[in-house]
Amino acid sequence: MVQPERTAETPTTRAVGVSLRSVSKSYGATAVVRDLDLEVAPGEFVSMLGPSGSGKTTTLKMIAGFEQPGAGSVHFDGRDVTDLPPERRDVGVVFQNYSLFPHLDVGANVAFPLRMRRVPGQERAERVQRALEMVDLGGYERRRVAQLSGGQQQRVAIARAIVFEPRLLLMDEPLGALDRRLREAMQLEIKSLHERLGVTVVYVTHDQEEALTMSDRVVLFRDGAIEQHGSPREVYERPSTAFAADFLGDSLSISARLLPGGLLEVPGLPAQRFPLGTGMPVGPVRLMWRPHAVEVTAPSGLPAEFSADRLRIPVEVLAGGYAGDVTRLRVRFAWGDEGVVATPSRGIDHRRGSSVDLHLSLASAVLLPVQS
Amino acid sequence: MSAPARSDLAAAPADPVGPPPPGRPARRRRLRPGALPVAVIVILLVLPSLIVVPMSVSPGEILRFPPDGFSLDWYRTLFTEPQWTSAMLNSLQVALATTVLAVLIGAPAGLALGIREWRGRGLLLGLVLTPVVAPPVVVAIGMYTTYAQVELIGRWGLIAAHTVLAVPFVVVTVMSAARQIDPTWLDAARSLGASPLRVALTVLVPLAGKGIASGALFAFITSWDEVVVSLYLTDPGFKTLPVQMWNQLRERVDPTVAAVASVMLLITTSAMVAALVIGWRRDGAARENG
Repeated sequence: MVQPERTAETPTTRAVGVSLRSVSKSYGATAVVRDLDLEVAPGEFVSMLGPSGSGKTTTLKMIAGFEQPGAGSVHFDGRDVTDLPPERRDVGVVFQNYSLFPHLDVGANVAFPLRMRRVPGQERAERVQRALEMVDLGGYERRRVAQLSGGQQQRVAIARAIVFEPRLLLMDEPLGALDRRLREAMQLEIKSLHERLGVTVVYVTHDQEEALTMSDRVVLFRDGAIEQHGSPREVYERPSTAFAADFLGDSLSISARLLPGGLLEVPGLPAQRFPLGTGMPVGPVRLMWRPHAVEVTAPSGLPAEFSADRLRIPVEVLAGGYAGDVTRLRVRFAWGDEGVVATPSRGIDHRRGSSVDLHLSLASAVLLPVQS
Repeated sequence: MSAPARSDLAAAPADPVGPPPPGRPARRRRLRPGALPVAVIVILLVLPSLIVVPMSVSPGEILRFPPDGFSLDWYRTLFTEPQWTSAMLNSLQVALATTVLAVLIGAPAGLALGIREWRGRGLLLGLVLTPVVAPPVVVAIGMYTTYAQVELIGRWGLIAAHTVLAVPFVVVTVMSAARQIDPTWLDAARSLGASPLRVALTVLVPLAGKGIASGALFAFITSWDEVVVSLYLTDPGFKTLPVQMWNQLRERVDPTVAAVASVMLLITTSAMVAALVIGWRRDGAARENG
């Protein structure tokens, strides 16, 4: 069997589209994944993000074939693969604990999928060498796995998962065991690998920053269902629920109330016409801003003010965290709401108990339903 | 240098290499003062067994120690007289068949019990270990009455019975080897293109192979020197070595028995030593891979 010659630089075009249709999975009486629908386009980099126990890893396992859905089906390019065993799905998987075989050296680990596919020895050696070079481990073939650092082991695991040119690459918190700096470097490497290979990637993480940095699309899981999905910018700047807003990063939100006639009432202030269409029923809502959308100034000493589409509200500083260029402040409104804002570090008194003015633009606010 | 001398035990926590990897107890090979009583006990147990060796080369008709000369006559009897040679062959046959069957049954069970946690695991393990815990005579009587019902007496009955007795040893050794196998290795191998059978051959057997080998040796020994169940299940036409020895001892005590005992001792000890060496090398490899 002759494989088409392919160098590390030429991207493969064998990316596969994945779709999950009404997939459910329970362990005993516990529903882990509930009636989930998900489409992943060929070549797309999709992150499945969520707290532990939200069903993201179980979903990944069902795509890999390690777990069978209790109901629903899994399709690759429209073909039903629900009953296809993992070894016949042609999917590369990278695990959090690397899962390299301890009885094989680095070269034999990377050669494993090629041996399973009966790739002849000469070609096998070349492809192993190329795959190791792609992860900057050229010449490591004879090393023992135990001699490598965690970061190196994870690179070997990645080389092993891509050497057979799979149609789909699944990664289950692959950087979870690495320290922060290594993790950030590896994020960019995985991203560039994705671009070079053109392969579809489904990436599981509980780290929102990682998901936002790497993905074409973020799928946020909650209690076995998809809470929201969209581009990193969409899900971060336009979360559709308070859970999505909180999980994707710090935010500042205030309780408000929608009144009939498109009016918005903020505690202690006269109602104003809300400039954006809301599509939300009359009643309590939350107004949410990301830290970068809030302007912080020294206290003016004036009472809160709601005019046109701008709010100016004095708040109390609960805690300040200096982080180099910016200082993050945890603040409290007079009526009790708390939140986080970020401001350039210069000229702001961020001691506990001091007071600052927040300038909030309604145009950059996100209106969230209040959870019952 | 005013630091008080510290005992080995007190010094143990100050390990310059750092703490041992989790899940694996630290081991040290240095001899401790406690080794002395252990040595005494070992000698008290081992010497009486070894006494049969000099007794087997005594030229006289009676078992005596110390021997009154040197002669290999009794070994000649052992390897020429049909009652002994057939007993030896029978024992070897039964022991080898038991080993194969016990590994075929016990190794998969040990892997299943050692790799993953699952509901009912403890129950099954308890069940598998029953033959070890139950008194041999009770097991023997039970087996005799049930096997006799289906006329499973003699060669095949003995192989079946010994397999039951040997399986727990295989399960336990394979299980302890399998503890070092991370279940995600199996998922990884599947995703890389290995069918379940190839996962077994390329991942499980290499990683648990030494456990399987020592389990096989234990199974062999279990059958090779088993006497209680064998007394019940053998018939006059089919005797194993321990049974033949037992019969001989009741009739007439001559140094042939000592010669048999020496041969059995040699084989059993070799198998034990082999099993131990495999175990040491496995632990050593595990340390290196840690």
